[in-house]
Amino acid sequence: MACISRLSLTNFRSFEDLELELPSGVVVFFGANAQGKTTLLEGVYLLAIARSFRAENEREVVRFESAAESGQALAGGEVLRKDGERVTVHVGYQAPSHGPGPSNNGDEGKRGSTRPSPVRKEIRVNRVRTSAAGLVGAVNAVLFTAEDIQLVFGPPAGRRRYLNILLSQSDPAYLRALQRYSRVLQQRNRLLRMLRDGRADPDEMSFWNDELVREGAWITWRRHETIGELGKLCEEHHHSLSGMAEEVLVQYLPRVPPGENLAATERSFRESLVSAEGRERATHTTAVGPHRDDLGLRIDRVDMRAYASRGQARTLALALRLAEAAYLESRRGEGPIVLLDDVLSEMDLTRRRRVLEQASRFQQTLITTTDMDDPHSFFGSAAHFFRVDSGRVTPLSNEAATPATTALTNPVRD
Amino acid sequence: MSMGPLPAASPSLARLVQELHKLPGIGPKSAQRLAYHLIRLPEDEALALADAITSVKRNVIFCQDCQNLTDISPCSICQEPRRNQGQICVVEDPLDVMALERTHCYDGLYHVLHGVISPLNGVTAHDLKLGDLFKRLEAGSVEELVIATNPTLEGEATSMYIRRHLEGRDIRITHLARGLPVGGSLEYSDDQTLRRAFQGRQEL
Ligand SMILES: [Zn+2]
Repeated sequence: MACISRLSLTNFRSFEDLELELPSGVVVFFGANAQGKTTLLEGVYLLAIARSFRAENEREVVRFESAAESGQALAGGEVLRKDGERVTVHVGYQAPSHGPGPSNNGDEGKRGSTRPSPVRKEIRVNRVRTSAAGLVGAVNAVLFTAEDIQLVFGPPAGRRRYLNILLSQSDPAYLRALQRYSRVLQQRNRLLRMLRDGRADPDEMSFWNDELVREGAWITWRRHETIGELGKLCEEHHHSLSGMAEEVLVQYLPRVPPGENLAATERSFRESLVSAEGRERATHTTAVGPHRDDLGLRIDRVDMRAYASRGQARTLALALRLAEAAYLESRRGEGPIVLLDDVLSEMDLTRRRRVLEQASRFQQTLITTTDMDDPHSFFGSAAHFFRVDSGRVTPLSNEAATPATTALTNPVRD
Repeated sequence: MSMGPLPAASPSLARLVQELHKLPGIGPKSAQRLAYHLIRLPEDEALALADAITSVKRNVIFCQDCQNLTDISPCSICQEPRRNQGQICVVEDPLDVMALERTHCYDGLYHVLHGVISPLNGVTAHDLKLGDLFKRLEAGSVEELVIATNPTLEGEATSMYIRRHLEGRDIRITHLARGLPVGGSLEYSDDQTLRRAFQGRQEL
């Protein structure tokens, strides 16, 4: 079981300089909206998956006013592992030398033509510089957010992302294959367009085809291997959440059919690629591969992606997240840190209790909430409370977290 | 601290800032700082810099054999009689030649591609000095081609393109080993580096 014992955020969104000691068990951050609660979870999750979960462009996380002087935004943490080992993890963003504004339009244009990503990321594990693939897996976390309902209703990209984060955290080689695959895909798509324009020779394609097949087949195969077990876990959790024995089916819908082993999957991939040649000549983009996969979600045979009610979708999304945590625990032999970002208030009492029950099986659960009507009966008497107010985080003794503290919080939700 | 507007009072200063800003890695702030620095320089030092730029543009050419940048062609490396004429080491750019020369462990010839295959950057095999390389190999005196492109996806693509092109030819093609950095430890190496180091293990 892993737990994060210290979190530090420097020039990170609203936090200029935060040092926070965190206990294990259930930890509740409460406060009004826009005070920085979600940023705390964003920081922890960043240390797990090496990417901000809510920034469209990661330079958003840099607090410009103060980062201009010290040079970077930094999230750091000390993680205590099951075996007693302590691991320190850091993700830093090199602040761009200038803030966003009209005076930079010329510069943007210039960068755009040479290098697409202006913010530099620096990742360290135990102070040693490493890549995203070197960090992911050092500390695992599972995040629940109010947007999880999009796992069911949203486009396939969200479900692929779910699978990718799950598999990357359970196996760093997966993330490395994924990064290489997406680079191959970009190169190959550009080459398809250059071929259309007569700016390249067809014999340049073979390297990119080989790499696409090799990485793509491996990713397809790993997804295929995983989904059986994941689906079973999802069904179990769904039963316990809904109290009904419905048949829950999580299906892999691959763009390339996997074979009976990796080698057969590679052959299948190559065949699909050959038969897609005509289509690729028309569209100039790579037509087959795991970047086109989806997950099928069915309850009693009904396709939830199209026909779920909001309530059904919410329960199914919760079950997928709980299954994610359970899968990671079974694969890594160590439970993930569970992060619940403002998800409890929209659940009915039974579900809240079930989710908290499941979450508190793990060594550490970090929860943000605006609701503090009856914290002890809600979170259990052993929970630890922190108040988050304009970027300041203050621990509350358990006695202070009585119903009277509701007055401190602003219950208005947006 | 906010950045002031460009000094419109001096068009020639504005032009200098603009030119400096075109250089890689130079943002608008650094461009201004450099421009003010240049203005404060004694005139002969500033002119020496301008002269160096002009001279490089007028005099530096590609070596007719190895395609490295040089003032004379063939370049001094290609002209050195003691070098092993049967070995050619293929590198991405002139800085790689300098890095390998510093090691004093290679005494063959070089071939500089001036880039790697990367469709995203608009670079295909035809944009590299590959045709010149294949022509050099036609002559038949080369026994070994050492491919020393970087261990990136694009470096691999380039290396593979060369190997495919030379399939069936009587030339030994080797590749620089990818291993552990000296002073690095096994524990802190990422698994891809470790895997490669293991695959490239050697007889002692
Ligand atoms: Zn030369």
